[in-house]
Amino acid sequence: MIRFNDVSFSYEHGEGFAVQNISTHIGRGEFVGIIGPSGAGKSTLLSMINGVIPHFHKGDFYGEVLVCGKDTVESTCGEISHHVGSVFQDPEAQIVSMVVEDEIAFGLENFGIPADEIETRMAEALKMAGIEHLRRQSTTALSGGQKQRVTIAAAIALRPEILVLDEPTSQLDPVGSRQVFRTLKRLNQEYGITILIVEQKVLLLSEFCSRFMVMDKGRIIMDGPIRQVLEHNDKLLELGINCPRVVTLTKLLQDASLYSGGYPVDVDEAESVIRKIMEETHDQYQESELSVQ
Amino acid sequence: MISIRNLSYRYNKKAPLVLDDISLEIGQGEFVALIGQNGAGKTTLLKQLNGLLKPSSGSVIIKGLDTAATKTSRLAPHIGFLFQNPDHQIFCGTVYDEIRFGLVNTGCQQELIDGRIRRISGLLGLNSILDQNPFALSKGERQRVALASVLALETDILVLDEPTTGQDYKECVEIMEIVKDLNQRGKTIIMVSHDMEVVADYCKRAVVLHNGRVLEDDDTGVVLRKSDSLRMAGLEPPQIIQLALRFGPIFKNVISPEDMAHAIVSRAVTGGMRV
Amino acid sequence: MKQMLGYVHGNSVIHRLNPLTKLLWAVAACVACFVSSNHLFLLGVLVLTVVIAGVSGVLGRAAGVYKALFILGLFLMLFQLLFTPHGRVYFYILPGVPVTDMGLGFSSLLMLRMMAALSPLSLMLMLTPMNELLTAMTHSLKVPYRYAFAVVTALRFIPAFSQEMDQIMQAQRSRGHETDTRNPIKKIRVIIPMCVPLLISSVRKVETMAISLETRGFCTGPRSCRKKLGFTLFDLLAIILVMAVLSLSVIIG
Repeated sequence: MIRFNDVSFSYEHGEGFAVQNISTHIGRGEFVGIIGPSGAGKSTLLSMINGVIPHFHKGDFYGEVLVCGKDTVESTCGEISHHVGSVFQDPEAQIVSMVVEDEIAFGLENFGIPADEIETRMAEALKMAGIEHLRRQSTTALSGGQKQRVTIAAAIALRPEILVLDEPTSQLDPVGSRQVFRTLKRLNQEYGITILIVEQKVLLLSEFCSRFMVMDKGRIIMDGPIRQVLEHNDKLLELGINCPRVVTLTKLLQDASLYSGGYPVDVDEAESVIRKIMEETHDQYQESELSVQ
Repeated sequence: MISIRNLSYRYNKKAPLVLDDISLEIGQGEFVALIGQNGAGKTTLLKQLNGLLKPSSGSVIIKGLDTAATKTSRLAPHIGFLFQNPDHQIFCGTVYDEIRFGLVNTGCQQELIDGRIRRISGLLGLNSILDQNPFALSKGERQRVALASVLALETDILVLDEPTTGQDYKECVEIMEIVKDLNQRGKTIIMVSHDMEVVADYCKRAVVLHNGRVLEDDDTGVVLRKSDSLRMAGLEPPQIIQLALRFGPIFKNVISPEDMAHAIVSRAVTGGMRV
Repeated sequence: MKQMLGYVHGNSVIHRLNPLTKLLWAVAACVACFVSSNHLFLLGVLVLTVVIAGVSGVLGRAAGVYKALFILGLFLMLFQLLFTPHGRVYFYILPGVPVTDMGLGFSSLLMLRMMAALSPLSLMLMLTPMNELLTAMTHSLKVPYRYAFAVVTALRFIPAFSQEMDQIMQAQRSRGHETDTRNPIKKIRVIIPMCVPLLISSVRKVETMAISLETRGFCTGPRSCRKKLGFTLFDLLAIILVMAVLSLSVIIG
């Protein structure tokens, strides 16, 4: 679906390469979290998928990026947007209309889609993003989480196969962030949309993504299923990337030779890790609690 | 140090209450987190502390000064305020001038200014970029410049509105370690944060706001265990506390992964011996 | 600003009129007010706008506009009054500054004209969704979409910028910056710490917006429009009314 063949890019006025020798493949229906310290080239990578590079930001482009079989350098930004929807950090700067439904229709009108088809597609996009109830609301009165879901709906109204998101939850509170991730999960699982997201909230990523891509200094340094990447948690911390705390805990237990299995990614799995340790060390917690009393 | 009594606030006479009968006492050297959903009134409460907003009823007393009768610029020497977005304050051509701005405003003596700027920039690791243009720096660096310009005022109280938003984990830890260090030197810190891990790692006391009211106010370890209140306020406990809660009272003082690992290891040792 | 220009959601007869009709009304009323120098006529136009505001349920919001226009009008009236020495003198407000019948006539006309000419424009913005106005301008009046979009977007961002300005002002006041001064030279120095951040953050916002537009096919080809903005019987009636007002202004003079 997306293929990078030995891609390097340096911005017109930048120093050195923003990304360097990137070769990777992203298949249909994947949900990829891209993590790494700031300045690692994460946003640059996304901009090469939606065509913002090289069509908006200019610079030296080496190698090739193929999206749905088409070379992004040879297609226009508008053509690519039929395949790739984009969502950015600041919802304020993306919403151009006063009413939610106008915002969704905006992209469709730009492409000259006939009115009755706009109606169908709009209803479909609102449903997919789970915001049918916001349809006639004013865009200024929405919460941050709602605004970002409107921008997502506006992007998917063009029926893209791929959605790229650049830190979409950085300005949202925990409730808003979770709303956005739930929406993305739906789009991914029920509608098969391929999702690439750059995000600092590793905890949410571990819960929702299937694959992690770790970037540092313009290169992809780790790439694989979440659990596999989290195995290298010491390396991640070294790079200044946060790990889920249950992973840090498990690592400490491993170091104390109490545990040797795989890493848990959420609280449920961590609970069974600890229960297993308890059984193995014959620590009858409830009993010892009683005997102390 | 800070005394908030029955504070209520609305933006205008017809608007609903944003803060509803809030009373809080914050003493010297405390490290307080204000947590809650967007719209719960966290930032509004912070702005009451340095007089940017004035109480509709009730009172806010900062080091003996009633904010209702004191201009923000007169409160500035006592209370430093770091806004969420550093780009809302940075305007000078060099980092040095940016840090200097607040010092000149608050009437710092000319001969002291340079010394203070050097000391603060040393503390925040900005020494090598003092003559650079702040707009050319990274977001993390800009946030540190903004922090430096606030710290230069050497206020006893420091108010931080989501200081780690939009930063990567490394930058977040850098900022929080500086704040922690300042707290250990006796500064009072009041901070709004959405990141429960940051709150668990650094703050000693946590106040949960919901619909303009104080829902919980206690030690961080205690507040973060109140799952029901947190859920109501649109929050959830950090992973380790969620995990600890599943084992009843065994891990009742656990906050960090280190605490938890330590508890499990010592349990395993004594448990093993008993068998 | 935000209060006077913002669209107020509603579903009244006026709301449902074709945006072109409303635009025509605003422009025609404005022209008529400058053509006519009749107190009663101007008052009539003003009353008509109040009635329109009432029918469409935005009287509360419009009241703010009338108040602002009234205050502005009072100032204009006062100036005009003091600088019109011709005509019959009623009394002297200051030694050498007479209040005359001509002065009173001129100044009240000026005030009425300003209020009557500007309120329809403001009302039109309150009762027409921005995007409908945009569509009307581009499809029917053939204004290039790029320019029409720029104008409408500028209006849309006014509240966002004023909010941003507020934040910036508060951030600088927190650093001990005194924002209230009467000295005009100091005033400039007061403004710089606020304008620079506003400018920089606007530039950042605009860049994001440009990219966002680019990824949604902005100006890639001929646009379509979701809503068909047809003319109804009400539009016809409204246009007849507008024409009547316009001709009346010419006849009365």
